[in-house]
Amino acid sequence: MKTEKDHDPLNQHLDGLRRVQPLAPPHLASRILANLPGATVQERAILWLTDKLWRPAVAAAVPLMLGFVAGMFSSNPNVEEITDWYAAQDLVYAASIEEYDYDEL
Amino acid sequence: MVSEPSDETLMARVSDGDKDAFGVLVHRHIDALYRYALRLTMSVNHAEDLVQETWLAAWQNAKRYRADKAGLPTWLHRILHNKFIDGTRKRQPLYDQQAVDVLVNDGMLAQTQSDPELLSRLNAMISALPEQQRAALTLAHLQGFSNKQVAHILGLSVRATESLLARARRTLREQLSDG
Repeated sequence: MKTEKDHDPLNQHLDGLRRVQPLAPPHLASRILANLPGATVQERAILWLTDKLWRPAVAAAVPLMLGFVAGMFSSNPNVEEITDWYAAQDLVYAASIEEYDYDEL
Repeated sequence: MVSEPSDETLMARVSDGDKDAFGVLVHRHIDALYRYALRLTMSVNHAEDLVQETWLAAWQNAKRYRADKAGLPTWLHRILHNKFIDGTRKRQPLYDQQAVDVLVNDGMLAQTQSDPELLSRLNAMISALPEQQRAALTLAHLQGFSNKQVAHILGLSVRATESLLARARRTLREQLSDG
């Protein structure tokens, strides 16, 4: 049974306001749990990673980026070494030709 | 169907250092605490800090919680209110428009028949109430506590709490009728 209170416009407005209340931001719970005393480094790392959607993707991309960087450095040849190597190849080739009996050619 | 453990059961585990149980409680009560903190501080950043401080205090004082004296929501709101009085009051009061936007826009407006503009005005009027009236009104009408629980949270007598509520409601009625 409705009482006088239920018909009070102010109560109705306040009830309406009560139904539209905001939620806590998603990161807040993670932040609270990560900052508890005694949280281990692993616990903090996991909570940090799961706090935002983009973080796991970035973490997975890090080894790939490191691989690119490492590849860039290793594919940069020493030109002098290559020149010496080609010269050595020529010598070997020349020596091998000398060994041939011209009849074989 | 397995029912979720009660607040009392979880707090008993928390007092033994169970972080998983604490995590469940955080997720269960964080929205209500955040809303109250937002109304008290009128600042998104301060509200988040206040909620974090509250939960830290709850973790550190879990052994002191007595379910027979007050329900967990009441206990948590009391901690938050005391933290607000102790710490946030010392800060320069900052009116944060973002806090008002969050209060007005981040609610689930689609689920109510009420006029959004009127609710927006009401939000602004509540934000402009004196601090204690705002706290009492928020706890009683928006957080769903009884007058006795509100008195416990605010550290006042029931009579003083009812007086605060009456003044707050009178102010809102006058402003609404001025329209």
